[in-house]
Amino acid sequence: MSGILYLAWRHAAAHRARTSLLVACVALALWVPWTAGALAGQYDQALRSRAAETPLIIGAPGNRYDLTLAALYFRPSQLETIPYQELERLQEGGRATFIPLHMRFTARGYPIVATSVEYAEFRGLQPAEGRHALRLGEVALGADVAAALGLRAGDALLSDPTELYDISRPPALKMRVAGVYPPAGTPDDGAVFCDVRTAWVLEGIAHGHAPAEEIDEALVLSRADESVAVSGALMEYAEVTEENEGSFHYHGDTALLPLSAVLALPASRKDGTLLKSAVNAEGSFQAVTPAAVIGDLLGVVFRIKAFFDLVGVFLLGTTALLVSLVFLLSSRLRGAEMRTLDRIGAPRRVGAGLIGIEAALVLLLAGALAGGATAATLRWLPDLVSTF
Amino acid sequence: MSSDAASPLRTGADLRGVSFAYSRTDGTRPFRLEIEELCLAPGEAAAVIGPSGSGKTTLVHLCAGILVPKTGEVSVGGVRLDRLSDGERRRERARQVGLVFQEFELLDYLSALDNILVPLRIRGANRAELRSGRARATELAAAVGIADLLGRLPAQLSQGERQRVAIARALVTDPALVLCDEPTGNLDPEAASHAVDLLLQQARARGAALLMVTHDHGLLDRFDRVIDVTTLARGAGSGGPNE
Repeated sequence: MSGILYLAWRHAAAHRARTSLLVACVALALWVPWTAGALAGQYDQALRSRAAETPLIIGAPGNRYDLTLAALYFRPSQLETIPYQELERLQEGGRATFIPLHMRFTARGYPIVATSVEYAEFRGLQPAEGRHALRLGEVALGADVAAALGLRAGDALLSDPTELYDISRPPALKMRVAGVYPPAGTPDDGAVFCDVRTAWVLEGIAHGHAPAEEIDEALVLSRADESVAVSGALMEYAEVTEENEGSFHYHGDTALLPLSAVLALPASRKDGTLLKSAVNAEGSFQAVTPAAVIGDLLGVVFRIKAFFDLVGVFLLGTTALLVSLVFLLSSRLRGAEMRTLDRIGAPRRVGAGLIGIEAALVLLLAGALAGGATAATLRWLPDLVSTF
Repeated sequence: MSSDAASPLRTGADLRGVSFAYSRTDGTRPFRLEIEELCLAPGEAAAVIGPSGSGKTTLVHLCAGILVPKTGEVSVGGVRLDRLSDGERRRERARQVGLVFQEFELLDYLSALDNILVPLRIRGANRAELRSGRARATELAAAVGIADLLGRLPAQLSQGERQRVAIARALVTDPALVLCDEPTGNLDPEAASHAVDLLLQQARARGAALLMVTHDHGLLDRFDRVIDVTTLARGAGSGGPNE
């Protein structure tokens, strides 16, 4: 180790409290913008990549940001629904593969994403255990949900009640866990997947109960040739089992069953363009390109980030000035030492060298500390992207 | 360093026809120091006396190459310091000159051992030089009686112990010339006497010329020569013992 470097190191080590304080100040001033920058970069990359992977989203007219955030990241929103018949009509066009999405309910606070098995294939989700949720009343769990709730294939999960005051309906549906997906590092990790028909059971549009001929006559209001009117006191099944699955049925027009959105996977870019323009031209629904919507959204977010970057620069500048002041005062306090070294035969600028090297050591240690803290923050901070 | 600046023969110090002057800030007449001739042989010890302001410290600084004369020659260890650049003079000073100050001027954040090694560190000694320097420092520490104190900081040492560390620091590079500027000024008479004996003994044992500024006339008979700085212009610097 060079002599001057050694002297600088010994001085820094001898004044541990002062050096530690300086290192901590600089590290903190570096950690804030570094972490913010790294998180923003990660966030930006993750948001854009998921958006870029999803060619088109079709939904009811309204806020395109809400539609996109709900369909990509399962953000709670009050989306207008689109009828199931629209999905069927789109499928007839044959320009794309269409994946239904229904996202109105939650289970233990996690969003229930009712869809079809094509969604799992599209996102590359292969169950780590069990299988996809194919049957009515089954769910497949994202990795974070399974880990947080301690659930495995074969366990049960209750949906969160939405109609607390409707005593004629079960407060919650007990759903069987068919499988668990491995961690994907996306919002899929925090979702509960089921078939759309299960969502309609949760909506109360479909339900199951004892056969008409077995209903307690006290609950029958009237009987006709093709229908039986029963009292609201007739309890619906709160769980879909192999025995009662056949009893589940819809009331009303099945073509009007609600969906939150439809993902469209066009066969080609041309098909995508034609499909989007056709949907938007018709006007009843809207088709949006997620990458463009997220790009707009992040444009706003990153303009705000630029402001915080500026604040970070000021913070760093202020810290740099304060640290410079400390070293300036230190150089004055060490005047006698510098004169001694000068007289003994040290190089001309030994004082500046000692102070400079000590400052560099502080910066180096602070940089290493801030780097470690940034890495630890990114490692241990809850995944903001998948919980967006 | 110019090729004729160095001599293969090691000598102590040699000042010839030296003239040094500077203006005083208090408006009084400029300070002048003239030295016709001052020679110190290896192993020779000289005390420098003179009234305050007569140029004793200036003489020490000229010998060390800290100050450069307007005219004349200053050689230490056979090297003409007056011909060297500032950087070269600094390197020669670190290599050829050992300095002991009145306030000892140890670095408070270094152990006694590290303080002794400072002259080697500031001249950028390599690993091998540091290793041999450390051995020499340990030997010197034993010689001056501080072998057990090498790990201590200056604040943990007595005045006398600090003085010994400063003496070891001045000798660790095995210099041709040891310059002492009132090194006993802060010591009691007994400690001062012991410190001077130690310096003379160690300098002589290593063949280093020694020039010591002192006000303590009770110590003068221990030196080979006494130089009154006010008589240097008349060539008193090359006189005989106890002049």
